[in-house]
Amino acid sequence: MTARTPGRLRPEAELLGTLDEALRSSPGDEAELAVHATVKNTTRFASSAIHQNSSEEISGATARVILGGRAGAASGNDLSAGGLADLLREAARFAASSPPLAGFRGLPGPTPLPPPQNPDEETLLLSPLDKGSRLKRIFDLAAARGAEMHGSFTTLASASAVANTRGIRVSQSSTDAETVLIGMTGQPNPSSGYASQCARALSLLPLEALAGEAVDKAIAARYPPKEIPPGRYDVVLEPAAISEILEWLSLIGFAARAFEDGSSFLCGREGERVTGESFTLYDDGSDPEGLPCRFDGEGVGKKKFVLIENGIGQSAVFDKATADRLGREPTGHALGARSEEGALPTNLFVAPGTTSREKLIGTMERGLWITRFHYLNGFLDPKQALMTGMTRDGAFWIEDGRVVAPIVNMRWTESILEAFSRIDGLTPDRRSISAWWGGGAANTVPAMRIRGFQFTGVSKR
Amino acid sequence: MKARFEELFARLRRSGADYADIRWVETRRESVKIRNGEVIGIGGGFDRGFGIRVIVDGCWGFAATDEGESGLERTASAAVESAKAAALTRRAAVRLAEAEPVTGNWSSHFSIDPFDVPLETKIALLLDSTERMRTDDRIVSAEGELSIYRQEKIFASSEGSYVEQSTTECGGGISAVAVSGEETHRRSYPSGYGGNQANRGWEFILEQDFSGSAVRIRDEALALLTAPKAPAGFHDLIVGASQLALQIHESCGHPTELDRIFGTELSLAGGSFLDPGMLGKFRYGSDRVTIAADATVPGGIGTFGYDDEGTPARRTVLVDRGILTGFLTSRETAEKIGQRSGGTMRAESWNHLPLIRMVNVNLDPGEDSFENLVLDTRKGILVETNKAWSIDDVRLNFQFGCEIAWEIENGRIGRILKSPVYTGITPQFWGRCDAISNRDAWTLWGVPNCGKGDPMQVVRVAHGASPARFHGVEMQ
Repeated sequence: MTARTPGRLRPEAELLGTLDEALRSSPGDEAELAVHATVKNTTRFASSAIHQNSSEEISGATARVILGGRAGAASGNDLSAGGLADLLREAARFAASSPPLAGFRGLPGPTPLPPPQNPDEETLLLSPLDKGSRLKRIFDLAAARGAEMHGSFTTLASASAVANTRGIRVSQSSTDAETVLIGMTGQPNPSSGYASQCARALSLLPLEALAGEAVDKAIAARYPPKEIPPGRYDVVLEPAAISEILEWLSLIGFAARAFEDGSSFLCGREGERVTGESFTLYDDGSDPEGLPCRFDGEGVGKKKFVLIENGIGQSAVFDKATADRLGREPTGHALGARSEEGALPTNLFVAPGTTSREKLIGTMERGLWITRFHYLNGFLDPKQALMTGMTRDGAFWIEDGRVVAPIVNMRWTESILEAFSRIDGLTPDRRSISAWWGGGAANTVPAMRIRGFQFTGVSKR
Repeated sequence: MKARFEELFARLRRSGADYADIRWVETRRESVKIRNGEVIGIGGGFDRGFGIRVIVDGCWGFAATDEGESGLERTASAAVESAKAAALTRRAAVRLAEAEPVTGNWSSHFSIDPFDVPLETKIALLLDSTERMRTDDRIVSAEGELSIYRQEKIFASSEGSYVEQSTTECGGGISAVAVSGEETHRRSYPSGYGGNQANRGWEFILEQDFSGSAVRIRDEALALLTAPKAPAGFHDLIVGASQLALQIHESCGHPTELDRIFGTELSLAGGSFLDPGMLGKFRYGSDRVTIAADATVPGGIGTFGYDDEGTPARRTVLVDRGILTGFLTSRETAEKIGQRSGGTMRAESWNHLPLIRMVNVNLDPGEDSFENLVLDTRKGILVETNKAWSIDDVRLNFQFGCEIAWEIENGRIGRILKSPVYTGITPQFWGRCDAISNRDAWTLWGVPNCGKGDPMQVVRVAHGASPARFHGVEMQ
């Protein structure tokens, strides 16, 4: 174990030096080490009071060793040179017991990297007391409007590095700040509204404005909810709702594992139309509008990588081992040597449109305005991207372009590929939403309007 | 280590802590995954660290480090600083339900240490079973996996508790994916998403007999390619045991978590349709439904000696013959309803704050056999093995998709039906339960991937269930 200095990230040069030392005596034909040293401070609150304030110092290391075409991996949290050497030996033990991998052509070699993004000092040094004061301010603002706040406010700083015996030697330092805010009102018609965002620096996270947005929605929902019968309705989906859909679309469609096992909707459909023309989806770890990241879990450089272009399916993403098995190239999305999914796009962007949110809602004759979803699941029929989920925290019935009433939460069941074929408007502005799997993953997305979204049930609240 | 912790507690008291606890946790993992005759994943993991929890100025603070003992004092200071920051927004001081200090050791039982079994044996077992499924070109993926887990931990508190525990678990499963044209179907054994898991040793893997079920799984996956869709409408539904385990998890386990009921999970996992005033009055299900949280059941991955607040493992009846009678509680939440902790505070690892989590939440078996349950069903549908799951933010409206269904006509299991999806409202659904199979069909299912909290904690829980029948369930 290595001692830490409070408020300082582990220097990248120190991490790389330790990797070099451990790799010099690595067993096997090839070896790879990926490490990170992270500090994560999470504050959670309910009813405008902090109930969880935690600070974690977490290290992680993954070793992979190739021995006569056999691969083994091991992970741990001791980043000392001795600890890493032990990890390499453990990985070699696993490799020695495994049969050779067919088609594996070895670890990846160096690739171009996007320029580094400096970690943000303000985010890195934010003290618990400063954080508590910022939250108290928004709690007071909410109270003045008759609402209470629930949610979380997290800051994270991380230094990471990957090196292998084929010449990869990369490092980065990063910060991110993210918040989830729910404004809630009390009796006689309890209601909730939601806003969330993540950014690479605290100064890019408009905490008070987001709190205002959440409270606005809660206040707008402070009326008896209207029960809408199941059926097809036009919807305006906010970025948080789109982001949740994209997480599942990634897992069932673009992940290396889904493509390899044949369950992805992209299997046999690369180059074919899978959604409407107005939908373009890409992954870009180099774009500072999201949470930038220079390289993947194998040290392969990030770049803009198009998944769906104007409705045409382009490609899934691949780590080196899956790419070799399938005769593809690694795409810079490997999750690491011990991941089950192999590779996953974690810096998603939806190309923006030109229609304002006000116009999307204002020109809707009858339909729903939806802030976020709850508990999506995309395993119903992955080939059709058939998913289900519930509305939550700010869902409204719209008539003649105006909010008429909040709704009783509804269940939807819909092929997302078909739904994305009926998009008839996207906003020009986008918001970055932290992805469920964390680790610096974010989706940067506009709001969108979809015609005839299928609702299949109503909750009984 | 005990003396070192006592020094730390003394220092924390001087810093204003009214209460403190510390957990030292060391976790070791090993996994093997096979796909189409190749070992696509083999490896192990090991990590350890300390987590320190304090109450200062009436608020919780928590900090964790993997630096080792040299980082303890700095981490303790960080926990105190976190609590003082939380106190800026304090509305009510944290109070803990009374608990006697405990001292003890606890270990799970196993006959064969799974870490001692050679890797070559593990690979051979998976290769043998998955190769049996690869005899038809339409099987595009034949997978098998094993995972082994051991966690050693020490819990100590400023009230004088000191507990050492060791848990060893293992599990695994196989699955086949069949593809033809637009049809893609997966069948898994013994359950989906990594198979079944138990708080036992290698003997548990051998009992699963993957190879003995491989051909059946393959044939069912192939049959699904040409099977008719399970019909929409209202049907008498027999829910198979592994699917019922997830039904219990989502619609009984989560809603009875008292922290969720008090709103502290609202921003992420959501709330609950229950409130403390319903205790002893609310009809959760039919008279046949009795559900208990029981951390003492041998072999469950929700089994332990003490929870992560040092509360000894116990059994709490959540639903007694259809009536809500209990919640999953911590010392803090139990105090709010005038009870003692039910011992369900659990953290994934050293770097996580303990939260109220499920343990083994089990549906009591009925009296009749599964065979008689089917014989007693004139027209219905049997569903098995979870494929998709979704439930609303207060745990009322749910929808589950399963891998496979069978038609039941005049008491006999008939043809295979594909893509069954059923939906309902939690208490209405449990209220429609009119028969539960007996203990012969009862199995404890490990669910090693229960997510809750922020940062997300994945905790290992289990559910005992036998197939049960529900009258007039909506299928889509």
